Amino acid sequence: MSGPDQQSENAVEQSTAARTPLQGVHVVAIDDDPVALRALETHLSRRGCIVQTSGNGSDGLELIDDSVAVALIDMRMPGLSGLDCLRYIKQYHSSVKVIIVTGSSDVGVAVEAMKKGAFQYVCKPFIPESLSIQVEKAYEAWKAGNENSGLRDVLSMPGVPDDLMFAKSDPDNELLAAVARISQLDSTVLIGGESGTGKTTIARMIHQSGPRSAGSFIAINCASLPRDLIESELFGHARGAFTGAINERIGKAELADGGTLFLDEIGDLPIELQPKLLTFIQDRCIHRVGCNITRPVDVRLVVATHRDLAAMAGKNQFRQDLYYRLNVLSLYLPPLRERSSDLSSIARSIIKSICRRQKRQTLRLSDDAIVHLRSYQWPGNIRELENVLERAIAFTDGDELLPEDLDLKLPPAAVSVRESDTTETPPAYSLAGMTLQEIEAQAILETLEASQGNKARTARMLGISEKSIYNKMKRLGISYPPIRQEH
Amino acid sequence: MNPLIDQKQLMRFAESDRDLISEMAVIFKRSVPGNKARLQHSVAEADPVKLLEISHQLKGQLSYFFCAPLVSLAGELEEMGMRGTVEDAQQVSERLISGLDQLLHELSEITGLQLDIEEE
Repeated sequence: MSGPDQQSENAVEQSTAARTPLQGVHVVAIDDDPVALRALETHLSRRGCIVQTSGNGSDGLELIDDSVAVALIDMRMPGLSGLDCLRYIKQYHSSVKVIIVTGSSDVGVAVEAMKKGAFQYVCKPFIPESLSIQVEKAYEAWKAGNENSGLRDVLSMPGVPDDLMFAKSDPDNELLAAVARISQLDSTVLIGGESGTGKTTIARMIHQSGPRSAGSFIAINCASLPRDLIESELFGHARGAFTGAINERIGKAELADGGTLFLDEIGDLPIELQPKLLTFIQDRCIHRVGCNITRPVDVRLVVATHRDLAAMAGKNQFRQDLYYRLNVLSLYLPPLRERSSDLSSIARSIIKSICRRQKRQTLRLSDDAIVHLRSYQWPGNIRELENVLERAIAFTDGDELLPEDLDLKLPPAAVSVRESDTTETPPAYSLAGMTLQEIEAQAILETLEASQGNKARTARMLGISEKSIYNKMKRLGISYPPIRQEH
Repeated sequence: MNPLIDQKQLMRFAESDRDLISEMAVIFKRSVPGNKARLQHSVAEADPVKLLEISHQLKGQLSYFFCAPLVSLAGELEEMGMRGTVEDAQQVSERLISGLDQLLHELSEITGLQLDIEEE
């Protein structure tokens, strides 16, 4: 084969470089024509998609799950036809968007398929650029469907959203109400909170429920990028701007034009880059590295950090002027150890979500397991809780999670009485050496004390039913003098 | 003989990726003997359903190589299969089969691979 035409190759790279919206999008292609399949796979992979292929319907459907955003399906295949596949997907994985690939003589059938729920159809031979646009549209629709369903849950409080880490508590309701309010504004948002508390989720919610939801949500983690690449990643670069800059590249700020730019771990942004970010925030214009052209960019900025930016600014580790620019609207997500009264409902919500994802019956969380979870400090917060529960679910055959299923790494220092949301001062004794029954009894007694003997409130605080509190008190031999409520 | 392949369109489809064209060509070559046999069989049996199936598949596959004359022949056979009138299929299928050989030859020239040598 003759050598590749460098100019053409550059053209390919340049034209595909701008199509990052499909980066990481999971696509399944089903076609009995191996030539078509190879072409589909190449073109979509080139645009960043994760592509799985199958030469027939029945094997192809095995590849479909709810992580798949788009399925490209040939209409006429031996065995299961494209319509059969469409019917199955609509029934069992309705979020997946189906694009029918069809010969020109089958357009009527393709239109019929659209009436039956296909997202779109493309004719053979597909035009790569058009296909890319259709897949992008399908992906946007898939994303919006998934995101909006989560958002509907959030905003239809007091229902507990399955996929989010929020409980029914007043603080969470307040947080969600604040998110709903903030999302309607266009000011910069600073989200604080330890790692794993859900800052990225909140940033997405702000984007999705706001007027910019039709635009892109583009995220950069300032801590994970090499220092010398952050500027180019953020603002893009011109061809030849530095060694290795073979092609011109659009930065994340430009990609977010019309949408939201999320800068995670902003506290880790190198100090030498902070003036550039400040200029960008003030002028809403960017210059690609190595290029003098000024490009206006219309983005909403949401930033997050686990660091204390105010303290850093005080110590000149973070520019004060930038800090003030960022700290327009702020949200703080408390660590999980400060939300122990919500822990059981958060854990149940996560269990439900994991079980649904794994297509298995939702496991119960035993009361002892809840006590066990509450005895832990959760340095990794909700992310760590999710991991612990996923691991527990994976290794449990029964229908209930027990304390022994939870692989908690309890360092001696962590095994101390939790700082309850409901008590002013934490008890001074250690739980180490107590049996789970004793811990449970202690937790109930203290909560009864905190709720002045109100059993319904105690049950709510402990995340169990009122009936359970009576059963447990009976089982554990706890008596508490009822106190008459004053009205 | 006029070339079957519209090379300009093929290159545009492949976004100038010659490796992709080579891969498609190799995959296509592998399918040619089987497809020829299925086509000949359907015509010999005068089976319109089988004729429709194979000609439809060939039409789709050939369209990716932008060889309009062969796509047109496959389309004619597809229509015959649809109508259930396979009397004239013999002549058209022979032209198509001969066209497949020419297509392999042209693909060999484009890719530099030896695709037009008959495998025993």
